[in-house]
Amino acid sequence: MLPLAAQSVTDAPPAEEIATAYLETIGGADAWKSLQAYQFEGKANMQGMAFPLTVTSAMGDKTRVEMNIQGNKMVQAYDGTTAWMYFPMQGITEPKEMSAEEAADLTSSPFLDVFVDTEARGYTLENVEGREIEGAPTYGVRVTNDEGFDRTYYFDTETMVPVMMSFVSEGGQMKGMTMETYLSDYQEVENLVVPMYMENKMNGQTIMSMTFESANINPELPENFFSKDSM
Amino acid sequence: MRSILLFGGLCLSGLLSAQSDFATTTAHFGDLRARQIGPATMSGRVSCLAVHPGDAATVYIGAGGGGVWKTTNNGATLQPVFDDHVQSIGAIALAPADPQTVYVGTGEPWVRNSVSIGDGVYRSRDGGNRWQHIGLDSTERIAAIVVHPKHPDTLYVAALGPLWSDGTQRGVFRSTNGGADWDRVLYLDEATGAASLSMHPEDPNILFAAMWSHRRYPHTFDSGFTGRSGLYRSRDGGESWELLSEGLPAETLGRIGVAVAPGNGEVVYASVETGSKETKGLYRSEDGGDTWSLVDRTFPNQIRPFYFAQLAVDPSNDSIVVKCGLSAVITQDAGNSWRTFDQSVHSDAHDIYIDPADGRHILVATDGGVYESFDRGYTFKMWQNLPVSQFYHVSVDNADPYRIYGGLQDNGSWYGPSSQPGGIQNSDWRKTLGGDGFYSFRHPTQTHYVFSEYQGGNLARFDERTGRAKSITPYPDTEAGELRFNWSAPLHLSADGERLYFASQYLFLSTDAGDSWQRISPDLTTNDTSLQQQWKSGGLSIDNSGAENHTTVYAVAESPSDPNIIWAGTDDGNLQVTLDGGDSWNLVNPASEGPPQGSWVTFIDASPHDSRTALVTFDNHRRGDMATYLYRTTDAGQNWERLNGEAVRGYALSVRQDPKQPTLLYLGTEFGLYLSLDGGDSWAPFRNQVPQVGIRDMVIHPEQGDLILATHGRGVIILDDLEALRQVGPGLDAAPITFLERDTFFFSERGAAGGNEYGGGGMYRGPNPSDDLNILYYANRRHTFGKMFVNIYHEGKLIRTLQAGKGAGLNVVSLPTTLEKPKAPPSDNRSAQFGTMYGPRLPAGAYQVALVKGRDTFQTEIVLAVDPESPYTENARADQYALLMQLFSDSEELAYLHEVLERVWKQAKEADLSDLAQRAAALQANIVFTGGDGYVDEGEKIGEKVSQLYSAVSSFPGRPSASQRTEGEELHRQVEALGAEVRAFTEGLSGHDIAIPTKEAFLAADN
Repeated sequence: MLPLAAQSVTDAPPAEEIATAYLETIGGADAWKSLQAYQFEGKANMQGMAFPLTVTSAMGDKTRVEMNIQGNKMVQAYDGTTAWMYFPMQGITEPKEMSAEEAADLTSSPFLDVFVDTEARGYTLENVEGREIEGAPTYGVRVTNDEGFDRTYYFDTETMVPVMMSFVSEGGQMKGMTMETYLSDYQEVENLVVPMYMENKMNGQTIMSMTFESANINPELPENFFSKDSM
Repeated sequence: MRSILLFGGLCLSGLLSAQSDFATTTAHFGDLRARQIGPATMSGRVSCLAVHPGDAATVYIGAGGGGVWKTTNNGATLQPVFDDHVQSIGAIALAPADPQTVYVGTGEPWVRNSVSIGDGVYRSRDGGNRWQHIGLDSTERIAAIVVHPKHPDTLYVAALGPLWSDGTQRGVFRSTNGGADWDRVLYLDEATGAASLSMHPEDPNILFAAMWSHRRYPHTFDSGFTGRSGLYRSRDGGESWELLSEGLPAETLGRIGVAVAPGNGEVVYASVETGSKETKGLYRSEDGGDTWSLVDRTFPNQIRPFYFAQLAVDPSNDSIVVKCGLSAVITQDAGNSWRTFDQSVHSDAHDIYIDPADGRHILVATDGGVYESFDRGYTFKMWQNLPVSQFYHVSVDNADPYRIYGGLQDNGSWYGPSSQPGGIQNSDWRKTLGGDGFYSFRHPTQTHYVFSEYQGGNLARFDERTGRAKSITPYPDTEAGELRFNWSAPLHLSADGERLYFASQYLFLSTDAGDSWQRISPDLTTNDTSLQQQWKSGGLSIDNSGAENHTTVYAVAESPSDPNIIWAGTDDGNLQVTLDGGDSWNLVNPASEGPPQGSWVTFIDASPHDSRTALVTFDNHRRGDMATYLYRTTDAGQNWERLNGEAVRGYALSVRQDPKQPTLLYLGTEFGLYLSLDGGDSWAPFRNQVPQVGIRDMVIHPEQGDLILATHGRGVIILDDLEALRQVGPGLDAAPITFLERDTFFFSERGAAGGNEYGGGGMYRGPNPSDDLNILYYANRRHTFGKMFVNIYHEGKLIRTLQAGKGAGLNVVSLPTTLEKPKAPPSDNRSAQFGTMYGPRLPAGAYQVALVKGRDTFQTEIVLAVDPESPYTENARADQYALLMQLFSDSEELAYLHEVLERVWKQAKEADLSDLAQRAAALQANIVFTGGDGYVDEGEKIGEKVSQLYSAVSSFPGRPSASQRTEGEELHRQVEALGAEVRAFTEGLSGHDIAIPTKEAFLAADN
């Protein structure tokens, strides 16, 4: 194996070119823009235990994460205005609104990939130094906006998909810490290419990993699926 | 025939070219991770502190050798935030106008001769998450940084500069654009650096800078040096400077610490070193530095200026001043009278923080960590979660789990366990000797003895039976003259414990555990008397601590395979070897491409494979040469080969050859751990949980195959289980996936009980090695597209699907040694919910591993076995397994019955069959408790009983109690009866259109 080097900013193509190549690989901007919602099912691994997990997201930045812990539900959701959780195992037996800080990481993820219509949506792309991610050389692209969105994506120089995304957690116990999400197992789902494996790390330690076994594009969802009154 | 030969020839040439192309890279090590076990018991030297101006609970801690740590909760949790950079920290500053902007100056300014080095200044814009190097690369050490109160990008840096050599990158630097450009605004000469810097609180153009002329040599220190030290003031933001003299001593000056009172810019304090006890001490100015007067010259204000110079003035009262020292002292009347801080605080204070909102709240940074007072220094609490301990050396014993021994800078000699139920806690460490600690070994056969030493060759044999230590230092014979011991005098114990070696300028041997000594060498050093001047080391302030003792033996190693071959290396550059047990000695320094004459021999690894092979590190940094010097001989020193690779950074401190795989080498430098997978031809840094910290010693546990590192700033770091690394090398890249072999895996019998889990925050707990069975494979590239996972089979049945490691290089997939947990009926009873959270242990035996990667499947087999030394017999385990699996299946049966009744109830309700719905609900109500508060209002039915018994039986691997077995039978009978009742009920539903899942379908589905 030749020594793998991270890519310095000057070696990298401009961030916009990286974004374009990436969008082509994952199905094209139009396909993503016509997406209404998606639902992923799989398993979450935490501290050596695996739990069934369903992640559903829809236009309007709505999202709902549902886990089944030994027959008991845990739900965290955001309906575009209110973030809430339901977690009887921790005594939250009625859906409870989360504080802005608790919900920060849940509410700050846009539904539509930030690399689609980036500029029109107010995001700025910036080349930053690439890093060697799990042995793969990458280009670094930092995405920011005026509202404090600040994530750095590391694109595999060969396949031009992000293999890691890094951001500073804005709420909860991890507040202020750099979180890294490692992405792999990209697979085609109805003309879209999506990572079916994600691993969250902090200080190099895995906090949680997720393997998705199935993906449903534009699923039919009850109207109140993302809001508290769905419970 | 011919074609077959040709074919073979082609393969061979392919292999050969693959080998010649091979270069060790960090990617090879993949996700193999080390574990930092602390300890934080004694913590380590902290050089500086910085506190958020608006939030006293947010503190940045700069360690002498252990990086930058941050807390946002007043120390309840501490996180290292600077692990990707050099770990010696000189100064930290937060921009007052934007405290998310943090500057770190690297290179400690408290210049003892064991001090590390830095590589310039770094900036973070996000409170310490991401750092950018912003220059001043050659400053080697930074003493202070001050940031303009309104402009986060305007800062001044006091660059102390190189300690052991001339250098022009020293003095005061200014940047007005966040470090993109620098102006050297105050510079005197190549030996005089800026040692202290303070800014007027109202007028940021007024700055005070202390310039210090000083130099270290391997054998001595000179404070004062070129005579250009002085206190300077600028009134124009650093454009011009004036030397202040009115009222200050008119003689050669040494180190000065200066502090403007934050609450009154007219009051300025300076601790001033001179060569006279009459003039050395604390000075005060009340007119903004124009004139000065001596306010105190007692011991605390004169002591060791090179090591203690820092001052802090209470922002709310300019008469309250704290001076760092052997102990920190405080005055509340502008220097007239002084009080010593709480004596339970570790000695040697280097930095102080006084809370502007409450002057009683004080932090002090010492050689033993960070302490906090809320009563202005009468009492302190230690932050016991800062593992920046500075080990000099390390050893291990043969206990199970093995224990780790070592000595630390200013923190004595200790030992602690490599694993402990609940994690390795501060209270698990035991001290065997005080002072500064260096080498420490437990005797392998007389196991109550632990050998430890403190500085100056003070060797002791600690007896664990009584807790008493017997001094066993050798004394000179009539011919020997006075003994010269290094600060860290080398001690070496043969693996069998039969021979104990200890060295001054001579090598001594004891065969009776230190009770008597035989001198087995002549003076092995140059015995250059010009280098034997410890008594006058220090320059203006004599500092005869023993740290500069020179022309001494520094490293000793006996060949593991031939006790007659003994190596000795000295701090003045001699490498000596005897092949006859000390009767004759040969000076065998590398000649061609050798290190500069006089370089310290820092480490000798006598090869575990071959008696005439050795690896030796030399270190010349104490003469300003930071190069890495690593050599190998295979003929007992007649010829040498230099082994440095381009990737290696930092002067060399320790080296080992793996005892099983001769081509696997480990090198410790001032900047971390490097590995070579090809016998030293190429090297790469190992960074997973090993920061760029000085690694002064390392040892490989002979049984466990773990690499144990003595770091000088991050305590003990263990790289568990080297067996994977031993298999990585040239040739592996040919296949996409290569499974690595591993020894039979024994179940861990370690329980979780032990430590206190309710200690709250603020206590360090070192992690244990994993109990999981690691499946090891090597991938030639990162996996990004397509599925990748691992299936585990036992006796043809799929028992688990695991997430696969996706990286290039070594991957470690942990197989928990338990089955999946049983399905259980949904109870509202909290303990029942947790009761069935864990699956039963896997049975011992062979398991098949199938790694699915896209369209390909790669297979191997692993074996789980019961440790033959386990106290739980095979029969007892079988009994436990039988009962547990019965409870497992009872739990799943109840889960199924519950689900069946749930479906019937729902469908009956929808079809308005209320009688049927009621009967289903009534039957279901027998299974689990619902309602309550999940805490003290809880009920228990058959479901909860099964869950709780399952939990009790699963947590103990031996034979279940008779009561448990009887209870298990009774519960099983009840489950069967309930099952019969439910099945009778559902069989009676045939006339209705009600669908019921099969048990197989239910069990196969996710919960």
